[in-house]
Amino acid sequence: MIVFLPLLGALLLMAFPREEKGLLRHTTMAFMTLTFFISLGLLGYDGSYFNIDAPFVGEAFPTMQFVERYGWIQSLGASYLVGVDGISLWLVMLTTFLGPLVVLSTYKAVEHRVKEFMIMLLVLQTGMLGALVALDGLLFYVFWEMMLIPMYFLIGIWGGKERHYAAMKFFIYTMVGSLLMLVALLYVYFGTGGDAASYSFALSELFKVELTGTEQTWLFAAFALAFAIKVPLFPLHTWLPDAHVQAPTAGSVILAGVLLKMGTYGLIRYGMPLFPEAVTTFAPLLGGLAVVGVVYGALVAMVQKDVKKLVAYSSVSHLGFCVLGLMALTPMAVEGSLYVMLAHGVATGGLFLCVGVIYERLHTRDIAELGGISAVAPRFAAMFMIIVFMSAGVPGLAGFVGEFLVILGTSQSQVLHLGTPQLWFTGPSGPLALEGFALVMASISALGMIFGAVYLLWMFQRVMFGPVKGKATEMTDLTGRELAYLVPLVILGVLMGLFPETLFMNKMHRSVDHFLESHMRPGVEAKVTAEQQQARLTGSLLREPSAPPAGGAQADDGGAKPQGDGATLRPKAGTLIKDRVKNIPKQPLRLNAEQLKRLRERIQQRKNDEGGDGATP
Amino acid sequence: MTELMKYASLTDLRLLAPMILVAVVACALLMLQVFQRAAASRTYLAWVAVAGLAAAGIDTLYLLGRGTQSFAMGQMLFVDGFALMVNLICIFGAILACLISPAYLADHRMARGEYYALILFSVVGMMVMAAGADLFAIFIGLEMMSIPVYCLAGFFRHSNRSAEAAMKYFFLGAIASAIFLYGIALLYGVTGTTNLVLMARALDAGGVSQLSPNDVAGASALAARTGLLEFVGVQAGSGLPLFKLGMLPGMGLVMVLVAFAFKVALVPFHMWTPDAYQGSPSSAVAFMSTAVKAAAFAGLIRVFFVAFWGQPARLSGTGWVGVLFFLALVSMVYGNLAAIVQKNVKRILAYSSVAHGGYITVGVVAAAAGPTQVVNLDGVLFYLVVYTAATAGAFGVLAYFGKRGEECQTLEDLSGIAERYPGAALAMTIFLLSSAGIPPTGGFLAKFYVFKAAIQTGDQAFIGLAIAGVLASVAGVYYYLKIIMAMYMKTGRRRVQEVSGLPLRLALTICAAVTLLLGVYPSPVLNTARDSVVGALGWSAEVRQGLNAAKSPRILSLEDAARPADAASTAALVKP
Repeated sequence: MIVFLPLLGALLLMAFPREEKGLLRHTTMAFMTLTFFISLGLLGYDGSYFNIDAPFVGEAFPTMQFVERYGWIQSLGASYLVGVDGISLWLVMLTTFLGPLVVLSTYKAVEHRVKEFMIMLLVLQTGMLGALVALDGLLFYVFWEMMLIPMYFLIGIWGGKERHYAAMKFFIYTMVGSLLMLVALLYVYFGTGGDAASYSFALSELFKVELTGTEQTWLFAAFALAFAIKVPLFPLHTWLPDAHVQAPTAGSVILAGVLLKMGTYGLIRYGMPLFPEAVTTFAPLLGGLAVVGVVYGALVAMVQKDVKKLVAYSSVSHLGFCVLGLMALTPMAVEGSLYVMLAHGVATGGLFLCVGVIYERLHTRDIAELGGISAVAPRFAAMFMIIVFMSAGVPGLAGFVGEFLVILGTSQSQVLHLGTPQLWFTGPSGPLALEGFALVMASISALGMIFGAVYLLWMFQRVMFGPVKGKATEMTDLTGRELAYLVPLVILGVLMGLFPETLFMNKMHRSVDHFLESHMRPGVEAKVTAEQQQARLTGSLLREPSAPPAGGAQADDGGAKPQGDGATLRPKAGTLIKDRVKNIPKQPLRLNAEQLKRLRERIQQRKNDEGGDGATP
Repeated sequence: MTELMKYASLTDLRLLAPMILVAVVACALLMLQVFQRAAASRTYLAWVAVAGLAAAGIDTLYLLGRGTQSFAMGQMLFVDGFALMVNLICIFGAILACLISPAYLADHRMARGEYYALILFSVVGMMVMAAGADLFAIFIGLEMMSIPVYCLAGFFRHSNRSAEAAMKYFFLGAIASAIFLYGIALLYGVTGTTNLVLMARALDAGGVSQLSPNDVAGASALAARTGLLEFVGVQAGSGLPLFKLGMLPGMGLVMVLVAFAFKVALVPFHMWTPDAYQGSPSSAVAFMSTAVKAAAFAGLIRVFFVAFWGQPARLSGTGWVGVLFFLALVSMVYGNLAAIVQKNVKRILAYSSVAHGGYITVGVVAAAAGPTQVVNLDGVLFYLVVYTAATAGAFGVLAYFGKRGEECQTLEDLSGIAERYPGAALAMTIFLLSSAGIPPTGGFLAKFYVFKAAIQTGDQAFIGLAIAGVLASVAGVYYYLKIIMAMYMKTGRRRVQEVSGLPLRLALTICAAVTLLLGVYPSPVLNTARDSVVGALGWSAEVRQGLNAAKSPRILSLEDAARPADAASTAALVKP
């Protein structure tokens, strides 16, 4: 219902005359707002819901609610299967929340071909919502691609000078990744069921497919490539600045606010749970790239002359946090990652809107040409400041919570290091390569947070303070309409900063726990056990036999630091390592029936415990 | 032949009614034109043609609904689900072409009745070809299909380009026909028959067993019949893997393959395509790029899935699956890459049609890769439906515009049309996105099915083929987007005018609706395709097995073995 409402609006708009710009805008606005209000109904999502025998999704998604299923292509086993859980809930809300604000922001900015513009926005909205709620591989793919076309047009028609190049680059980049993902998806699909009749694209079925290690590696590589391009992860990010800078304000907001999150969301919903084993193998690589992205994005943002480009690179930096958090595979980090996604949507969306406000009036985004705006436009300055603080991660605002959680959670990660330590610069099997590596990653990414404050505040200072100069003299303050779309963002940002747990995260916990517990645990366990054994071997050979297992990582955050530092002095392991690696027994890749049963019991037990706790006092 | 002909009967007329109907309407169109004043409008001729085709289509649909499976005209034709489904696709393409034509032809002052008659005659040829159970029937169908299309290509007789297109198309087509005929001759020489089922039997008995000396006895009867065993056997023992089948049938197979590869324009037999598409009238291209391709694929599938289904011909080393595998790969890659550098939209679409031929061939080889894969031919049929709608639609949009009697062909001509003609631009966008394989259009699911079939084989080579195809289609996205970009994001310099009428708008609407609908809800067409493929192939397999079951190496006459699989459903249609 929510998904197709915007599409309905788009169809309706097609019938409208092109000249009635006001009517077109208001209708779009109405549809977007209506979608938002209907989606408020999703807030009825029960954070404690857990039903392992839920219809359609069952044990794969016991936390899924509002599940609907209709037949689609029966002969393929593809259906229209949608639902919302704690992971997708807030992203859906973010999308529907940004929708009307974006439309509002285009009332003056888009004068040319309004009809097409509004249709594109609505179709885009449908695509995004569909991709977020889809629980069927093929359905997800269809929506995933559906987002591309309107975005292509938004950039290509209403974009800046280099719009053709940017639009084409955006499209081709994304297409390469997603087509390979399709092939990988098909490969997994043929693992479901024994014969043609029982193949299924339902995610719960896809999760059951047993894959060998090599298969997982390749398939995850295909998925990860698609999502990494979308995020975008460090070496694949080059389309983003182009697309962001060239896109119209509305396009940038949606691109930053929602589209980029599709990459991380895709990872958490598809890429990671499908191939848990491969994830733990790739985690150091992806996590490392994410850290590089965090720092690189921040550094590059620092030297930008164009405000919009600066914000674009800040996206690269922030999304690095998201990926890092996901790869850490600790509850705190994953939740933090989700929170960064939301906060980034609000903050960066807001930043782009602010830049849009400046550009609309002064037709420049060049930092050098601006200055002293706060003197002429105090209301705008206030809004802009809060949003900048939000993005920079000032405590008390949205940005801080998520990034802090990611950093904290990452430092505790058990998987964010190299399984074959002798390959890495840390030297053979040094503890730095084990849990210490996660700590290093966390520290470096914390550095990114500091850089973030630097480039954003510096930019703010140059643009807003000082003598009024250049074109800034022509600046006027915000109008009521502009306040109407900035104020909600600011309020939301403050709420997200002040009450993260009570308002937002309490609905995430169970879903994230389940994601880690049921989907990712086998992979983590396999890796940790293997490393424990390896460490034991290493320890017994190189030190006294009673050395504590290095991969245990029971140590809390405080304890890990000195341990890590001290242990860097551990002697090199020499050539024997290779042989020892071979001796590690292979772990089961997936939950077998018994493990599943145990898991269920454990979950049930935990539920009972909680119920009991509640009753005793 | 004469012994076969005695089975021709009145029930055949019922089975062939659509064909006959189309032929009669074609003749009527020729007559109508004669008895008409020269100045009068000729748009109604298009409507007559469409009405005739639609009637034939409805009748085909009716036959399809009844699950018809029967021989007709002796054992010359199979009228089964597969043939009927392909017939429907061809009729669909022809209807679209007829609807696209009137305004366009009028704009070029070439509105003549023959035009529609030619289309209809060609459709008859296609129907024969898709139903062919005998190489001669297929050859006759092929020629009946091709010759009118040559004429259509050269229909603008005052235009040099059109003449060039027709000439190239005709010469290369004629060579392909000759090769085809020569292939038939060779195959006849080895097997003593042109009937596909008998040929399969003979090749199984002769071709396979000759590979091992122990089995030579099994083929002695064939040797007695042909007198060529020794030659064949000697060649089979040595020589290239392709000719494991034996030198002569191997050569015959390759020649037939080449002829079909020419018709469906697979690289390296595609040379004529860009020139022919560029020079021919757009409305004719809408027909020859869609229906002709569909029918040629049908003929290819008929011949190779029936006559050459035996192991050595199909899978050994570089059996025909291997050859087609290679052609598919090259076509996808070359077609897409070559299209990137083109400036002329018709040439872009021509190369894209080469690439599409490659994708469809992927589906064909994937279906041939294993005995359980055959049902995946439904993906091929689905692809053909989607491709027909999208490609005919795209050429329809080109026919939609003109500049003072000239064609609108280049990217520059299309620049900025979206602002003035949003409907046509939107339709073109849908067709191009479908061709690029982007959901939610039919093109996505079509490609999806083809690649799904390839991956389903589980063979690494086929997965590699799918990945190559997928990457090639990314290159494809680029040039399709270039056209879209021209339409929406650039401003046009040269003014193009709308040259359209109700029929053309109707055609574009149908195409766009079909393209979108199949992308969102493909089940009806898919299920029909699947049923028809399963029915038809199950039946022909049964016919083949019936023959194989008879241990005697003697070549049987068909009546011993050929029975309709589903007697109940065909009882009314087949002579007891």
